[in-house]
This record gives sequence, structure tokens and C-alpha cells, in this order.
Amino acid sequence: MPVKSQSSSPGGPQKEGPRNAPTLKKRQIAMPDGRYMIFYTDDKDVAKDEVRQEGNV
Amino acid sequence: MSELRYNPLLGEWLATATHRQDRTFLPPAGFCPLCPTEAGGFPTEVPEPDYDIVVFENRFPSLQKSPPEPAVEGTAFYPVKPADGICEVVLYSSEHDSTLALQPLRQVEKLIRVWTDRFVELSKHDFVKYVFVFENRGTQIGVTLTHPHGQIYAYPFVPPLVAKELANAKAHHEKNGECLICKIRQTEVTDGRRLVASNDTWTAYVPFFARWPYEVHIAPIRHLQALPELTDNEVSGLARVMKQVLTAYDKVFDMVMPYMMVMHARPSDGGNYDHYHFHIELYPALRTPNKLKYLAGSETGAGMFINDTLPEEKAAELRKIVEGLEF
Repeated sequence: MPVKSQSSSPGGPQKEGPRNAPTLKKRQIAMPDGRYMIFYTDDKDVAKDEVRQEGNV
Repeated sequence: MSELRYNPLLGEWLATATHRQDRTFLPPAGFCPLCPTEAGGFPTEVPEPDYDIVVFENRFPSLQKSPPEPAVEGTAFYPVKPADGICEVVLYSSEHDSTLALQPLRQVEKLIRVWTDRFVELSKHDFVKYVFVFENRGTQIGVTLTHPHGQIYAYPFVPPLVAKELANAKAHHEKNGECLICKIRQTEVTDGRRLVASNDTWTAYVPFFARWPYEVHIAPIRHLQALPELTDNEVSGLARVMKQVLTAYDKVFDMVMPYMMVMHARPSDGGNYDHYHFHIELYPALRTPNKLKYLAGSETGAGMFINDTLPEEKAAELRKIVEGLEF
């Protein structure tokens, strides 16, 4: 699959500060039909209980 | 079968995707294909017992990396092309009954970083000219799966509505030497009547020209063109303002508000779009608890929206709810 050369700031210069930090962990698998699936998480994995609790606001 | 057909009347492309007629439609509880696969349970799309955020290629894509040959042969008058592109599904949570509004701020921040990563990765493909992040929520919008999820389309061209915005932004910049969306955002801040929520990096407002009741636009204060340019502070600010707006939507009528959420970023075609300004647009479908805003004759056939409400009044309703939120 041809890919573009990716400049550090395509479409315009970076004007301020760092880009959002690449803290995500990625794990990619191939599905039986050839499609890809990517699992994302980070070090600050959010507990399910926290999801339920904050969801009640 | 799928293909791109050119509409010479409007000067734009559309996709046929007949295989989408067979996609899963509102499955019964316990058979959601977007839930994790439980041990001994029915195999879903996600072959693992739990997940945080997952992205995968749509099983019923409108656009494909290796699309089939078109069903019909094009002509010079009626051009036809293979439906090149990529369609991804983004699962926000493994919790079937949750919503984006119910996610903790940290999870929304993580989701913004996932959207950012997908924008960067999909933009690398030579055939991708525009990466479009969006969410359809609610059966009233036509959603076929209720599990909290969004989608990303990587188009082989700049889609027409975005192209129109880009052209207007460029014309405004050339005429006035300023960004059109910076001007709109600042005008809304100065006026104040249509503000919904704000923080030190983002502003949410019902635009003066809202087409939908409760339509909200969310724009960064800093002039920038796409998600990868956001700083950590801007990611946090966006997560907070998104959660405020989406929570307010679900409280307006004390029911889950159906909506479309779309992100308008610069194209990924290598051009210079410094005159453009990233923003998010939200189109809730309800105008009262039991009345939908339909896209009828004027909207669909003439392109002129008729808003049955006053943006100033709808913004005041949303702002009052946001002011009572405690996150």
C-alpha cells in the first residue's frame, strides 16, 4: 500500500507547544477475514467501577 | 457491490454499497457484536474477554482498501470509480450500556488520543485525501448497533461539505486577513448569548446560524488545523467540554439524545490549509422529547435548513445545565 511521506506538521506549521503525548499502547491483530483490529490502552487504564461511578453525575 | 459514481448535477461523488443492506440490525440483548467475547459465549467482532478502546475495519464498509470492480462501467459523462478508502469502527468502551457522555474524563482524553493516532495513520495512505471522524448515536439517526462507538471514514477525496467550508474559509482569509472560524468563535464569545461551555482552550456554542435545534460547535481557542496539533492541555480541555455538552444533551429532555457528531479538520492531501480551523459540530436530532427534526423537502431538496427554534434560547437551556454540572 503506497504511503505518503509524513511531514512533522502536514498542512501547516506547528504553532505552539508539544503535540499531545503518544502515551497510548497499541496492539494490532489480524482477523480471520484479513481485517485489522487495534487494541488501545494506556498506563492510566480506567477501572470499570470508575466508569460507572462518574457516569452518574 | 460498491463503487463511486459522479453526480454531474452537484459536481460531487457518492458511494453505492449494496452489501450494507445485510449488516447486523439492532441485535437482541446478549448478541451485540461489539461487546467482548465471553468465555463460552457467542463470538462477537472482538475476540477477547475485555478491552479498553478498540479500532477495527468495518465489516460492512462503504469504502475499502481493495474495493471490488464497479458493478457498472463508467462513461465520460457518468464517471465511475472503485470505492477506495477505509472505514473504521471505534469502540469507546466494553460496557454495552454506556455512552460517550458517561465516560470518565480520562477515558475521553484517551479516546481523543486514539482519534489522533488514527488521523495520523490513515493520512499516511497515498489514496486518502480526507480523514473524517464521526459518531452517529441513537436509532433515530439510523444507528444499527447501540454499543457506544463511533466511526472514521478515510475518503479518497475531500467531501463536498468540508470542501465548501474550506472554500469559504479561504475566501474570508483572503478578503479579511483573518481566520473565519477564529472570527466566528470570537464573535460568539463577545456576544455571549449562544455560549454553552468554555475553558482556557476551547469554546462550545450554538452558532448564530445553527441549522438544528441544540446544534453545538466546539472550537479550539488556538488557531490549529487538526487533532495532532493539540497540546496535552488542549486534549484535557476538549475532553471536559465534550463531556459537558454531551451530558447536557442527555439532560435536556431527561432521555438519551440522538445526535451526529462530526470533526472538521484540514484535508490529508498534502495541501496548505493554514487558513482553516479544526472544530467539532454536533447535530442533535430532537426538537422536543417526541419530535424529530426531519430533513424534509427544503433541507434535502433545496439545501435550505429551517430551524424551528431560536439558537439563543436553545443555548441558554444547554448553558444552564452545563453550569450545574460538577466535573
